[in-house]
Amino acid sequence: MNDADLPVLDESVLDELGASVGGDRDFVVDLIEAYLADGGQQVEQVEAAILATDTDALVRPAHTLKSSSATVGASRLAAMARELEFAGREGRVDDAQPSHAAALRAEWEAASTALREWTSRSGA
Amino acid sequence: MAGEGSVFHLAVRMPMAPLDAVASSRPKRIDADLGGRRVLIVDDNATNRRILVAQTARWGMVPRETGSPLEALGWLTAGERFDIALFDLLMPDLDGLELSERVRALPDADGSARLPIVILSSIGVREREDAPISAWLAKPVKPSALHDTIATVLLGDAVARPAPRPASEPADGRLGERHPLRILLAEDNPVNQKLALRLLAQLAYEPSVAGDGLQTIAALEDRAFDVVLMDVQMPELDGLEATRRIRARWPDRPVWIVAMTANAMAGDREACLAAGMNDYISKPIRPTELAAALERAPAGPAASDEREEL
Repeated sequence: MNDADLPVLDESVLDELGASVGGDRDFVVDLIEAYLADGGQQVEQVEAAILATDTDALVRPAHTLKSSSATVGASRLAAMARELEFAGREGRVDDAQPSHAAALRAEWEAASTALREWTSRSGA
Repeated sequence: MAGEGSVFHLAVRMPMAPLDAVASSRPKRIDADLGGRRVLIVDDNATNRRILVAQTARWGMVPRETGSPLEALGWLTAGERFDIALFDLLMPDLDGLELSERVRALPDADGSARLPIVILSSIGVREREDAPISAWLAKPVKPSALHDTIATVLLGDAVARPAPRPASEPADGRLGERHPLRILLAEDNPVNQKLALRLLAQLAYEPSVAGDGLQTIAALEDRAFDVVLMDVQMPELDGLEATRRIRARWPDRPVWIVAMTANAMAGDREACLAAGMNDYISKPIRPTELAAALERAPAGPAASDEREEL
């Protein structure tokens, strides 16, 4: 899979999420806010693990970030986090370099912006 | 079966449910009487067989099951008659399609060669146009989809018109009353935990929550649960290991463990079942998939005092 082909924010995921809770957009917005409040910590933990070349410590925050990013439609970030999770599991230091951490940070910022735009557009 | 004049084709095709169509499936849309119909169930996985037997028996059908395709062929050859067959696609020895071909090749005199066959296949296996079968059904099989497929195959399209439903209606909001369960949600990710709690509340369930495998075991020490919804990848102790410990420690407890995992890898389901889990749903969780998995879970002792299910 080429990460570059994935959208920063797949709005169809949010639409489906909304449908699954009976069209309760407030709940979707709450969920996004929980994600935004929490995800930054995982990005920091990923950065710290990469700087320490500690691939074991990389796995957990990358996994959590992957999973919750997928839930809110941050597809590209989910894919990047997944790559890092597997690099961590397999101890591949070459695939968990500071450049990867920087790319993840940039994608996190882009996804956060897109999610905030979505919530403000949704009128909540 | 080349040259036979009795090739049987129903005009019924239930395509594999694509992910975006899952939301449209509802419990028992078709009001059809399946009582007394004999169903042959062939699946090498004992847990799946048990689920299929329980479901079909619930509709008054008469199931006969085996893990061995060859044994099933033996029954048919010996003249045993069935109204419909459910074959798992992926089985060792003989897969569901090969078994179907063998059934079609049976001598036509006793009618078994025309047995309507439904193939159950895992996600990712595409419908094959030329297969000598009546319908395909995606696994994990939802009771509603199984019921509707059997009804459609047996009784034809006329009965199979789904009752109209409002498009945006959320999943069965009374499931928790109809099929009460004490649920433990084992999920560490706060976002996914929040979503799962909401989806369970919509089904009228009030679960307890554990944040990792150790907390899950601690919760089970504390009290009884009918169902554990178990994230497979949790910190401290992952879902597979937690399940192994639960099974080793309480071998007689009938706790029904449903795996939740984002990994759509083929071996995952098998790994979960091998660890002692009973069922499997994919993440992100979809309300209909969650409801179907809970419907498959047997009601616990406390719950069945009030209500008889399955």
